[in-house]
Amino acid sequence: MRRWIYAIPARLKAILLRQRIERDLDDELAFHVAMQTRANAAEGMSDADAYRRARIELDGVEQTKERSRDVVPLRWARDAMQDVRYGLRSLRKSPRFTIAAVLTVVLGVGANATIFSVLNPLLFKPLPYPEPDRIVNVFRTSPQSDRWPHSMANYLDHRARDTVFEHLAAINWEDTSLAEPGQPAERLFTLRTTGNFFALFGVAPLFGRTYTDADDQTGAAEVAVLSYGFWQRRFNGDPAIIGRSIRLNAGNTTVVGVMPRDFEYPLFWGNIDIWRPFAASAEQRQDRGNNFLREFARLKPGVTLEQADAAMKAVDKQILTENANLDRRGGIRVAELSLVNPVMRRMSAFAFGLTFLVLLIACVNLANLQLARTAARAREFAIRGAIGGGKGRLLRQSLTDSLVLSIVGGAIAIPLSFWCTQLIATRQFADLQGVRITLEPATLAFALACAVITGVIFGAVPAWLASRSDINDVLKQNPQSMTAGRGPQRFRQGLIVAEIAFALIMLAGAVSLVRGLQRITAVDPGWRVDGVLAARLNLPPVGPNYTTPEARRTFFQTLRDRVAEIPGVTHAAVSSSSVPTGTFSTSTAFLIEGRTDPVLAYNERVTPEYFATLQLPLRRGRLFTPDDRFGRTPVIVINEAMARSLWPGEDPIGKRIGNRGGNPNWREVVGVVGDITFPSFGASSSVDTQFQAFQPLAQTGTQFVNILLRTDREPDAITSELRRVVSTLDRDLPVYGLMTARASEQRQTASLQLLANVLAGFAALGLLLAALGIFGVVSYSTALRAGELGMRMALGARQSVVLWMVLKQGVSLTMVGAAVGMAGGLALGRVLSSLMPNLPAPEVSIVIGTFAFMVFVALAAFSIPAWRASKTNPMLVLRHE
Amino acid sequence: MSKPPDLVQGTLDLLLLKILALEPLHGWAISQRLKQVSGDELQVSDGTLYPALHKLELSGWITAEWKTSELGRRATFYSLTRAGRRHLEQEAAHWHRLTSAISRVLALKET
Repeated sequence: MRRWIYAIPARLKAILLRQRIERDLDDELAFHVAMQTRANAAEGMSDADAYRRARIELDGVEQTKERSRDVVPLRWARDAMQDVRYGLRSLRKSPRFTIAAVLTVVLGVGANATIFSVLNPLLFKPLPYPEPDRIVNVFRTSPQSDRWPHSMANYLDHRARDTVFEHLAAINWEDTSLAEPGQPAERLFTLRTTGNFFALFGVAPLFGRTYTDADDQTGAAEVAVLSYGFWQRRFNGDPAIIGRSIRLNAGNTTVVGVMPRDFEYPLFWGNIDIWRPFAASAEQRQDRGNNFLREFARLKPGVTLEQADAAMKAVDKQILTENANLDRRGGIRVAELSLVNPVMRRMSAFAFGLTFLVLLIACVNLANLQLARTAARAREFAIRGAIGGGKGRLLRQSLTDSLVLSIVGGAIAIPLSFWCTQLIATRQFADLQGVRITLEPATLAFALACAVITGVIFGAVPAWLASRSDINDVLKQNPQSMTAGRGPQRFRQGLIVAEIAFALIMLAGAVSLVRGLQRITAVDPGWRVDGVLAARLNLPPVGPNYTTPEARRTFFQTLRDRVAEIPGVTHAAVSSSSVPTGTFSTSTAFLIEGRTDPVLAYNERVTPEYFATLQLPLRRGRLFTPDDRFGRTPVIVINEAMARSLWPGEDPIGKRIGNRGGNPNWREVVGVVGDITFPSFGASSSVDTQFQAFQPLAQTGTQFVNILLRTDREPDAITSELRRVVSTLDRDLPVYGLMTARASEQRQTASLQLLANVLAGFAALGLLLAALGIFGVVSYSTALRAGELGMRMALGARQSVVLWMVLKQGVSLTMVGAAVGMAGGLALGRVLSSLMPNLPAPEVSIVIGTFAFMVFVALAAFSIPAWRASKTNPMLVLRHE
Repeated sequence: MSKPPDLVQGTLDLLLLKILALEPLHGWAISQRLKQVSGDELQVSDGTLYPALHKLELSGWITAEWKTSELGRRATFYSLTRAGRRHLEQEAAHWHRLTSAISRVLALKET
């Protein structure tokens, strides 16, 4: 319609040229008043009267202006901008409040944003594969664990009979040696997979192709796919690597593809260098005894987890029925994929919850600050309400004030938390390169949400309280007495109690978790950790020393002897797994003579000096001797847990243990040693069994070779010697994984340590916030009473009496807060122990100590202002009144 | 004298448009004209007048212009736009229809 030709410019002008419009309005109304004054004067009024009447007839110049302003479009936007400007200005005018409040928001929001960033990859982030929620784990279960691996034959059966999976793949972690002639050998962290692995995860390669089931056939040509990191590192990102042949495990393998960067996801897989297909032999495919495969599957569209679980259980039953010698106590389960094991996950969630408490404390602090400030502005608010600012407008103003505060605080918190998370990431996650802890939009959104909620809750309430007051009351009386009334005072007291309670609860939770983690890592491992150095070798399948079992046995012995000769080495041993730097690797189901049910135990093959090297104590019987060689009576040494459980009250020496299936090859128990415990037991890794059995290496043999030595020299001095010794035996054999047992232990518990440290930091932060908050509000309350206190002192009350008056209130509030906090803390402790039953509870002394500390802090926060109040000169105060 | 009825916003708009249809005026003059013509029957507080004028301006029915006034200083003069004139005709016709209908109902005789 035609009118828009005029309407649009008019509206644009109203929005954009606001100041001019204001001036025009002023002029217009001034003109009107002038004309009316003239008319009034013409009727005979005096000039002054004429003017006054003119203004009155205009119904209040300001109101008219206001109403005219209200007609403008986008009025709300203009008002909002004005509110923000006004808010910023008032913040500038009270710098101490602003700094305190902003600091509170920064700490509260920053803490949460930081820990959210750190825990995000662990808790919330999905894997970088298409439809990751359709990928599941398939575990074997047993009375001892619900996350056991499978055997190759079982896997093949699962795959043949499955109806619910689009793909079912299996993997195993391995080490492969890359040994180009003329170059030093390198050990590669390998993921050995079935042919459909890449199809399951659905990620296309960066170059070349991924391998398929065709490459996974017995006798197929060897192929491998490289990881991005390895490709960059070793081949300098050269695309011509595709189709080239490299020398893996002394055989020629063709590189067929390179995966993109994000596929590796070290947090889940570790730092994989290459992927290779199993290409298992016919014999391996029928092996049901060796359980080492992890199965992953992708659900068919429309299939639920429960359906898959039921289907696989049925398949498992079939397999059990067909194979009589399998362990019947086992089962199968299909579970969703999780990045970290459930215990770690629960711990992280708990820690995350604790930092929320820090945020709560920050909120309470903010509330206190706001209340104090609103009280100071009580007069201003009441007067504004009376002039006609409108209650709604006032509320909006206060809300805007708080929001501005929160957003300013949040904006500062975000880069700060970013910096903090980078710090944590580089210090703690350095091993897992590729774990990129970055500032995610999720974190930003989360932090801002925290800030906004904080602002809204604790901006509106005090303003609303203040605006409700009657203007007359406010103007007549001492304005501060308005906030000293019953209502506001109760509210303030409530806030103090809440702050103490929250702080105490949070401390209780943090102390429990931190102490529990510390105690877990301090568990006595059962052997002497200091002074032990471990290294790994990977024997290639070919080579003059390794083809026959006898040649290998000789090699092991020679190796051990040569290592023992290194100066500074007091004991040396060769074993099938590296206890000091990892865990036991293989567990086997053994037959116990006289029983039908097989028993699962870790099965380590070791040279006789193993026990002395680790200083593992002998409890009964004897250890291995050089006489326990191939051809002699097979012997076995078991640990205490096994002896106690299998033969309680009896002497296990002389009892026999054998293998399942066909020839048992009975072994005689000759000795019992102490249990080996790992520091992260129960918290971050699950253990297959408590039983540990050792066999002489000379009687068995091993594929994985670990060297252990005990030395009193510096480990660095030994490592080069060790390499030299090994290279004299075989130049192409790389020595890797060289690490002291102590270093390895720290590495394993690194993530636990990280969690504990972060938590301790936030607990301290929360405590600091609480103390500051209490201190602030108590100072203010006491200042309010300055007049009253001064009067009392002037009337003769002694300083100590005044001090006691203020303290008395403080003590009672502290006690209430402490009681609530203690109840809450106990409840939280119970929650924690239900989440993590294996976590040791903190000692009672620590609990009491924390409690006492908090009470002390609260009382200190009360007493300082009280002491200051008692020191005030009563005359000054009275004059101020 | 009894209290004159308050004017509804829409009716006020109609009146303002009509007044301005005759000649451009500034705010005070409009107020005076209203008082004169209605014989003080219609109470339009000046405080309501200006917001109404501004609303009409934003709707595109009238425009505002600074011109020199009788006082010698500048004032805002409002005048009707083409669209405003048409709007006035429509609204006036509507008003007449309405009032005729009301009159007809009120003229019903008691029998």
